[in-house]
Amino acid sequence: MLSDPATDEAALLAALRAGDERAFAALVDRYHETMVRVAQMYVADRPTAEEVVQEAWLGVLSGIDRFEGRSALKTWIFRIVTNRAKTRGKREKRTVSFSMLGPVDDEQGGEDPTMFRPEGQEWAGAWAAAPESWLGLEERLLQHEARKVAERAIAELPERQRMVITLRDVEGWTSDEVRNEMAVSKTNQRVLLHRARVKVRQALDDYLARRENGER
Amino acid sequence: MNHGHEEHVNCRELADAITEYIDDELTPQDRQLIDRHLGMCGGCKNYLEQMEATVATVASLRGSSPPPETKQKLLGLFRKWKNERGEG
Repeated sequence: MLSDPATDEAALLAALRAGDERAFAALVDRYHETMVRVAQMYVADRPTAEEVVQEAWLGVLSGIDRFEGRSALKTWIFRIVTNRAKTRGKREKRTVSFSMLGPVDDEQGGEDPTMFRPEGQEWAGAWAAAPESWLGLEERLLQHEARKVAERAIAELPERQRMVITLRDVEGWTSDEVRNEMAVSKTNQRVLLHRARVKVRQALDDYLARRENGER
Repeated sequence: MNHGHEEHVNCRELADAITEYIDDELTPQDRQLIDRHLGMCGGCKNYLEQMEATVATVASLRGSSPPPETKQKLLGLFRKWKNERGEG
């Protein structure tokens, strides 16, 4: 099986050029859904993003013989997606979706300040009520229901936070890969990722508390 | 973190730095401050565990393949490309 992108990329590329359908299917399995998520940042809706990604796959195939390997195959593929999605977004006069360029400090982020003792009081900045242990609950967190909770929390995040946590924590991209893709600074990316994780943690904590109290 | 020469962090500062801590992006000095706090604060230790479990849960969402009909459509495009290429 093709599994590790770093080691199998050359083999994958050779197989693809040789017209091996399994190689193409492996790439589709690996990247298609992420490509759609990336395209969705630039275009209006999911159906349009699907169209853009289909065009991008055609671009990948028609360009594969010219691909010189100066960047990673993955980087090259996502550049094709991004370029096509941007072009489509402009045509739709979707004033390119952002926000992507704006500051990240214009909104509150991080943990709710009321979770900590206020300034001026004794033990300012300490937990008002200390977080409880999730130990023993790890198994529950990987079950279907908890994963749904996490998925929903991610879906409800502001666009850029959703994008960063999806690429970094779901897809396992490196911070540099995400920075290139989203054109955000290292600091901004970290802030966005932190805010996203905080909200998902909160959603999981609420879920676990409800379960402990026997509610649904 | 902007602690200058301060010698300790409080729980709120630790919570703010938790992503950098988990992703190993802190300077050795800041990391040491966090570790020292973690060593004596049960609440923050739980908080760290919660965050790590959160990241693991999110990572478990990976691996969604496209729906079968989408994949079939793309494989159709591939076959067409392959045929045209063979002729060209």
